[in-house]
Amino acid sequence: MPEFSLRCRTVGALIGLVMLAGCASTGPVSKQAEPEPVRSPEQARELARQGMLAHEQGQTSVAIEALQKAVALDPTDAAAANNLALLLKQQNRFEEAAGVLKTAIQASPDVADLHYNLAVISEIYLLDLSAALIHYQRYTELAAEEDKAVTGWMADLQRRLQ
Amino acid sequence: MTPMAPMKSTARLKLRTCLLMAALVSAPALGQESFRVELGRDGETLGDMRPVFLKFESRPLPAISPAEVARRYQKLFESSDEPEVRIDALNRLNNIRDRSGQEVGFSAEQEAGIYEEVLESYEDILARGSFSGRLDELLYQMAKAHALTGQHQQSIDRLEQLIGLYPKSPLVPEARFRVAEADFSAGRYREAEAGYRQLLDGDGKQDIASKARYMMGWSQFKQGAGAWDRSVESFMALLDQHLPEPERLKSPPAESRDMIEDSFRILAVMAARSDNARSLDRWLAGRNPAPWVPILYDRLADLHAHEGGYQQAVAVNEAFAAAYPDNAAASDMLAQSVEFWQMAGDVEAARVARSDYVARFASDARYTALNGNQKANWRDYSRFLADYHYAGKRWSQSADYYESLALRADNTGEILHLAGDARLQMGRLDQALANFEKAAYTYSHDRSVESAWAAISILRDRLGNRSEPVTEALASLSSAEQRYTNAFGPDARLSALRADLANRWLEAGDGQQALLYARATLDWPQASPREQYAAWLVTARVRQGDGDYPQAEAAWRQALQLVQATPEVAESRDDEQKIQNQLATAIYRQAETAAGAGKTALAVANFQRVETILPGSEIAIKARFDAANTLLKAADWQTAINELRRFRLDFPEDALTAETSEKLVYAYQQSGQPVKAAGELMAAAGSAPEPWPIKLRAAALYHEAGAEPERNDLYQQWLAVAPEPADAKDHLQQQTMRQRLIESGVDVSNQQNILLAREDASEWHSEETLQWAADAALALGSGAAERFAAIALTAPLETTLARKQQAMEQAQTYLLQAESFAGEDVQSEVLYRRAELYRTLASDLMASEVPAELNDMETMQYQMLLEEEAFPLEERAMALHARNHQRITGQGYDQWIARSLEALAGMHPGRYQRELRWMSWNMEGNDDA
Repeated sequence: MPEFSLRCRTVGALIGLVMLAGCASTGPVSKQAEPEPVRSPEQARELARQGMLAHEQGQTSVAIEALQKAVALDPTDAAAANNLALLLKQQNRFEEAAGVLKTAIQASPDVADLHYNLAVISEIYLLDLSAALIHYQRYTELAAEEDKAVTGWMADLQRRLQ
Repeated sequence: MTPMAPMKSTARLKLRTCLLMAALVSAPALGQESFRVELGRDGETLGDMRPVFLKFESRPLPAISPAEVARRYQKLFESSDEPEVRIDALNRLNNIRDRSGQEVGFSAEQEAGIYEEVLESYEDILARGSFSGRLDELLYQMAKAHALTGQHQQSIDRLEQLIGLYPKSPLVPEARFRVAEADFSAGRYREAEAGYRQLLDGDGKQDIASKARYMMGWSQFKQGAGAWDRSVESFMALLDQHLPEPERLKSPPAESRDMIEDSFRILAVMAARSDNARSLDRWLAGRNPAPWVPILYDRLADLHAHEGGYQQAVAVNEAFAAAYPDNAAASDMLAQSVEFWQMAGDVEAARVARSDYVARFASDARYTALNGNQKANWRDYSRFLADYHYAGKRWSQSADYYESLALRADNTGEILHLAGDARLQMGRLDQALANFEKAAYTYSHDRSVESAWAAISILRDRLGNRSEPVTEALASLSSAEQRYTNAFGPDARLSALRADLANRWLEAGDGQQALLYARATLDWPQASPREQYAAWLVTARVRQGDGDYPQAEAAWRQALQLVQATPEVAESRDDEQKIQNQLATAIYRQAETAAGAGKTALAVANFQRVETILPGSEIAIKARFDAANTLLKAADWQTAINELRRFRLDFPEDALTAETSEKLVYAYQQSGQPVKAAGELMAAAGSAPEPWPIKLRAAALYHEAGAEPERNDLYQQWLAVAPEPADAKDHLQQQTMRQRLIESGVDVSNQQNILLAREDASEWHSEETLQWAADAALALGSGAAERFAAIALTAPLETTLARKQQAMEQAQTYLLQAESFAGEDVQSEVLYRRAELYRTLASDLMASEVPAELNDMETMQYQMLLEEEAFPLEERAMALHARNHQRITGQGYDQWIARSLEALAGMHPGRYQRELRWMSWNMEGNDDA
């Protein structure tokens, strides 16, 4: 509402701060709906690429920032989300990492590595053995071939959960 | 003017003037000294006294000159043969000579012969009996001719013949007069009296009657005292006739004035030879009041005075004043008494007479009634008496006379001044003051300024007496000063007074008044150096008292300049020193004021100026010190430091120097120079009885500056001698030092052990000390762990294992101590390190050297035994690491948990060994999406 704001400031400049405050307090208040991300795959890819380069250059924080933007623009970029989660894990930001993975799984539920990494982080760093078991299981379901180590881990988990 | 020089007096002259002035002015010159009979010229006895000579009446002179007329008659007399003509010509000549007073006609020698010839003519005519004119006239002329030729008896005979033959002739009165006169001249006074009385009883002409009365009085007088009453009556009647009213006293008839005057004289003589004033009283008793009475008394008084009888003269005057108190002449008479006493040389009597005179006419009513001359007398006498008493130091009487005189005198102011002086002499200051002030301001006179000053002097003297509140007295004096200034303007005395007033007002506590007078003193260019000096001192003191220090300084400087240029203005020998002290104080106060107002530069400049006035003085030193203080307050650190250092150099022995060190420390600290601050403290500590508090402050500063070697050196020295902590603060201090030494790497292990022991033994703890103790314990534990790990388990195993276990126990102890001090904060590390101790021991045990003497079986069994020994140790290690791993959710992830996780991954890979998986970056378009 630029016109209204401009007019209000003009009046306010004339009659003082009280009226200006009045304008502010009586101005129209409309609760905005949560904005939907504007999907922009090209930009997301560019950001993901920048994240990758930063990671390669050891600039973890820069990489995380870029990838967070990329994932926000394109939640379907499972690789970006996964690698972002790993970078967050490097900075001991385990909950954030898990959150990124969960979000990515929502957009890309059939990407096995997302489940695998979420299961590991849940098991080792969040001590959430149940979640770990679920995502190990989902991983095994999606994996192209059987992973015996994972199968063993699942058995150990099941024992520890009993 | 009547020549009465021997007894001439003012009063006498006044009377004379009244009587005779008109006559003298208007009368022609009669050339008649024979008419005048004056005292002292007639002889010493009454018998010698003679009446005035009388002239015959004659016709007026022609208008031409007497000499010419005489010449013509003389020619007629010489050329004519007719006896009548010749006689007539001669008569004319005589008349001309008598009336003109000139020596005309024949000379005296010629006249005798001529009258002889004329008498022959008369006889011839008489014998012929053919005289055509009146025979009475012929007889008259013959009598006259006889008289002129000295044939007096024949002359009288002819006159008596005329009287007898022609009693009705108009020439008879004159003939009778001549006959009586002849009797008088012959001493036949009784006959003369009778003749004159006969003449008076007749109807003769008035002028002849008057003269006859006069001569009758004389005839009676000449008969002696027995006839004096008659004589008195004759003369008084004559006076009544000629002076009937007061106006005539001023203008008596010219032709009679000598007779009048002579009548007074003879009356006076008779009174003097009788009973004086009492005789006069008696003679005048019963008579109508006459205006000439005062003159009579006056003549009597004069007569006595002339004869040296001043007392009698005065008595006459007083008698008159008593008998005629309201008579205007009474005052003249009394005034005359004063002169008589003066003439008598009796000064005291003269003074008494003056006093009497003044008292008698002192009242306004009596004084107002006096005429101008009398008033002048009164004033003269009052002044005389006032002066007289003044000279005799009879101040009260003198003052009374001056005061009563003042308002009646022309010079009122001058008289009041004298009255004031007399009052002052007698100590009546109020009256003196009133007189002086009136003389100064109400009745101006030549010396009014002196009167004004006298009034001021009285007021100033009062100040010394303290007879009234000093402020009131000062106010009065100030008012007088103002009045004086307005009236006369400033002068040297006033200038001194102003300076004095300035001082006195200052003493009385009224600075504004003091200032006013100081200013007034200085405003007068001719003020003396001493007055200027006093004024500047007052100004300076008032200004200083008011806190107006710049003005005070200016005034002190003026005073100082004066006392240096003119040392005699000083009140004491140390004036200059005192002024310099005050000047320094004024400057110092300016500095203080400037400092208070935040004007640092000005304050410092002023503080430093003090030294130029009194170098080396206490105040100068203090000012220098305060200059530095001011700079400190103004945060002008480096300048303050320089000042303080300079102060210390300049005044090493001054008490204030001891304070410079602290101030320098402060300045160094505030200016970011903690090392210098610490150095200053260390220098101070060198001479301090208790150096350690100072050194510890230095240590703190070294610490702040990062000067660790200096700091640590002090820490070590202190910790070596420090007593047991007496409180938490002491404990914290010492632990802090130990911690810092540890952090600096100085004597680390030792300090860690001491720190740990002190913390363990202390009853006081803080988060910091506990943390430091925990850190020390961890460090020591870590060191012990390293030593533990370094112990190789070689044969004999018992020995090495024992050493290793002992080392492990030591490490465990440190680690548990750390946990006990820091709890959760160190638990991850403690758990990790403890776990590693077990894991290392287990590992080292498994890798321990197998005794060489064992065979293979024994070796296998030995190793199995080792495994059995090691397994629980490994289990214990894994349990501790797992416990550490579990802390990840509660305490958060840290490096020690990470390291435990690494250890667990190695010890139990199936559960803890995990690898996360990176995904390939999707750099292409997402074809799958």
